[in-house]
Amino acid sequence: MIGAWLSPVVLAALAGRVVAGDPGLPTLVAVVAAAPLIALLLAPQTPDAVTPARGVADVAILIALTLILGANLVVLGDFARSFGVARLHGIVAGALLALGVALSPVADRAWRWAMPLGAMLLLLPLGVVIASTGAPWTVWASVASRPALTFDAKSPWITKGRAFGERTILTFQEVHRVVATAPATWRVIERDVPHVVVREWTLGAGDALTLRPGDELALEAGARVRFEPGRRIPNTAGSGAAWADGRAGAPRGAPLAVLGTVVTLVGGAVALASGAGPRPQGRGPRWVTSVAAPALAVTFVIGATAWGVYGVALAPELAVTPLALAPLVEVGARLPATSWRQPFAALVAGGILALFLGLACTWRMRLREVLRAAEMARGAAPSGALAAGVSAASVALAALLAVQGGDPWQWFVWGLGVAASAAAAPRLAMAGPRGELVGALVGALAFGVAVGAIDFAPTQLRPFVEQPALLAAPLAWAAARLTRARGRPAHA
Amino acid sequence: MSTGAPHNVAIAVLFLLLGGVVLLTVAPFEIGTIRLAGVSLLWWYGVLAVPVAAGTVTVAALVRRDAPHRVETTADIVPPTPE
Repeated sequence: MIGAWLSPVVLAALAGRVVAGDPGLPTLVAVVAAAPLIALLLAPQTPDAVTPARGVADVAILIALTLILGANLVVLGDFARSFGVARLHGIVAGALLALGVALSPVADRAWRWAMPLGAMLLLLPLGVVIASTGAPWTVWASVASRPALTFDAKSPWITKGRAFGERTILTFQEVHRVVATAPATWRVIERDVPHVVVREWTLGAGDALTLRPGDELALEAGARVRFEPGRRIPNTAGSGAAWADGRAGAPRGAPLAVLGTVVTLVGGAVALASGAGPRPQGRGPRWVTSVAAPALAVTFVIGATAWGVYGVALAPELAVTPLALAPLVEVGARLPATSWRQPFAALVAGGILALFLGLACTWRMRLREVLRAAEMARGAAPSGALAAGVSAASVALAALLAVQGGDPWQWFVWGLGVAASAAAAPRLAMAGPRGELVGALVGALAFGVAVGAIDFAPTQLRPFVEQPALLAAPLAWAAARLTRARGRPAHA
Repeated sequence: MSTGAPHNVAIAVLFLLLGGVVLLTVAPFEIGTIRLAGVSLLWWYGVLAVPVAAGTVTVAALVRRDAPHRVETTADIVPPTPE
């Protein structure tokens, strides 16, 4: 289960949110760190017991595993783009790797070490950055005291210009002269209250456009742009203090939204934690569960946040093109010692690859556990063909999801949310098989309705729609308890 | 004390730690933005204190669970030596 946590999507989300100046970041870090630990503490103490089949809850786990794999494939696609490789190639390579792990019988034994190896490989270059740049808290304080987050003269956005991978709207905070390094048509939205004027400009290579404060520049995918050195970076916090205090984004952590995050992440971790299935090869020695797993999870979460801090310090313009894992790639490219850059990039790429393999290994083990339980419930012998078929279907669905794109953190959270609502909450109700089934059905239904209402829910209900488990999990728990209460024989 | 008790205490401590983050975010006068050694209190607490404390508490509880429990058997009772 720790594999789902020590995965590329969590690293990308934490580092990316630091760069973006997300006001809810400290809360998110705390919850992301605590959730797998709570699941470890709640995990069954009897490894020899057999995981019972749970019907709807098991289907929810399968959906969750597919969503989590899809989220990580989205991140791999973005990571490939950071190295100039097509997004689709990154996704396909990731899907093939996952399929290889899923179908390989040695995966449990050999590849479970991939996850700690990946974490180590990513912490090693972080150590180099700390040695050359300073401690994270010093760097944080230095960024927080900057009067403005501006383009550095050595940034590639200044020296030769860069292309936007997807359609982007930039909002400027001060006068800024932007140069088109390739012919393009730009759309400028001028917000001179009460009028909003949209102008289209056809520019040739080298043509410049001067934007005023409040202007928005809409650029199509592939537009190549060069910015002005020393100017404030569009779409970022106005100053270092605004970044540090999270004044750039949404209001900091409304209690209901925070509660939703806690329910989703903790519930999802509990649901994804291994049942007590017979996994002699998958369960490591006791010290791995007791000491190494919690220590690794905590170090990884803090390390991911530190990557973001160095990202905003060395390459604050990352917020312009929020590619997943871009901070890890860009920080290496900005190191003072150029001889370190190649090994640095190799370590980062190797670390991400190892983390993904670790995730795929965990994903395979949990998937097989669910399938084995279902087969034992039917009285059938474990079938390798069925496991291979379901694994392949899950990988294919995850890859399709990843090709569609979207926010990988959203997919990850939905995966955890559906597992929390339809698996963890009914199980925690301890309502017996019938109560658990009813709870799982109610949780899955409520989760689906909340996700479906995302486009037209009123503002007051936004926390329930953004974190559907906030509504679905308590409903599932209550439904399970009510079913148990009704099922009890009346005492004379 | 049963082996489940340290677990329950550890889980309660973890939720208390998370509650502290929520309190800091909604506390009046933006207490969370107060700087200690250049870094905001919310960052110190949410990004460093909670993960480290949560990890320590979890390790302590899990190690305690996994420690072998001594059970007194008849073999432990040494018969009195005849004088």
